[in-house]
Amino acid sequence: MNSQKIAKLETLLDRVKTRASAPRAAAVRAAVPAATAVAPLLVEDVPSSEDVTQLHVPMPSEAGAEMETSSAMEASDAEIEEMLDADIEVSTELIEIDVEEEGPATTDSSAEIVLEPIDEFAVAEALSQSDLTAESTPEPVFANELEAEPPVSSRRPVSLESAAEEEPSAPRHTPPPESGKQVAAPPFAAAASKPTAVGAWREPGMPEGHVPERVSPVLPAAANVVKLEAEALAFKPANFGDLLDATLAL
Amino acid sequence: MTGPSFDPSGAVRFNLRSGMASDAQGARLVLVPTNAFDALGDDALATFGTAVGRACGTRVAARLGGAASVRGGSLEVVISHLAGELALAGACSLEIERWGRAMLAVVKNEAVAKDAFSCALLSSAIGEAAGRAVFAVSVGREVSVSRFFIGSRETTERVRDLVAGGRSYGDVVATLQGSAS
Repeated sequence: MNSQKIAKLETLLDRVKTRASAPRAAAVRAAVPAATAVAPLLVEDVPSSEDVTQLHVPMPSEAGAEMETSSAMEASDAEIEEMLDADIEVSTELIEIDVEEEGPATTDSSAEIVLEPIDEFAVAEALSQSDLTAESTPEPVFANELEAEPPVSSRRPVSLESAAEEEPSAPRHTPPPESGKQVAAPPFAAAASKPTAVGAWREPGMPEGHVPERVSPVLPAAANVVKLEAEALAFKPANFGDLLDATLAL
Repeated sequence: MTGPSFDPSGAVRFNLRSGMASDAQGARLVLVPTNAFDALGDDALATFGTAVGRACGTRVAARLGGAASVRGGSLEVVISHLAGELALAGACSLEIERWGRAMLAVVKNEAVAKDAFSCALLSSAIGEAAGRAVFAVSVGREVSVSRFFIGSRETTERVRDLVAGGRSYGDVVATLQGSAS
């Protein structure tokens, strides 16, 4: 880096100082507290080359805060020109970017340019932190911007006060069954098992309340229904001669 | 069982010095191998069977006191003596089946498994013991069991025709019972 570039950077630093000291209420966002004054530099591109320019910008002493900003950029003329032409947004918000500093710390009010290798990881972390800060900050609603109504299915914002005022309602889900022994049903009472006419079939056309009467026959448990008139003819020979005579008579 | 039981003691006597074998009454006997009957015809077999059976019946009648005593004797006594005598002769074992009024002789372990010999043997033994003219005809032969109907000449002729027609002994007996009722 030659002396010409250093001169341009010094010019840029002067402009930054001038803008920071000027009153700029319109440029400060409403959500940012005015007590602190931070002037972050908008870094659009992270340089990938090894040449890194670390810029230390001390803030004015009347603000009571110190601003420390480090930026990495390529040491090319085109980018320096781009930086000169770009709008620098100055706010009072303090953003600390953890970038390890190697070498002697500079407390001098003049800018000091130190050539040192860039820590890509630190830069990426700083960018992510700035993104998170931007997300947590509510978006400002401008006057000329129409706010679209949320869809019906979107979540309904419930404030803590309204939730506390709600009366405790019944559990929304069926509670789980209780564990342990199940209580058996009471034994079926025999007396209650007598047939009743409730729910019984009724002859069509018969008035309700009429129950048919059942008549069962009375029969003896046992009876001699067979009367033998004569015994069956069974041949029982008394001796060998009778059997011999019988078989000879066939 | 009422009546004298069969006692085979001394039923066969051997006189080794004189070379004689005889029954209890002194009638001579001869031990003949069974294969000697293989070359004989039905008539010869019937002759041999009649001779053996008649000798057995005669001894039964002698033991039981005559033909009248045999006829008056119980079935068990008479059958026991008849079966005993046939066993001593080495002819066969004998049982009696009564199918209603019909009498069937059940024969096992025949020494000569020929219908001519067995029919002559059975009819001669029973007839000689009871003093009646008795005839026998085969109604069925199984592996080692043979059944013979005991009856008159006319009835045995009918039974022979029924068996020749393929009727079983059960059908034959049933037919005889039906025709007799």
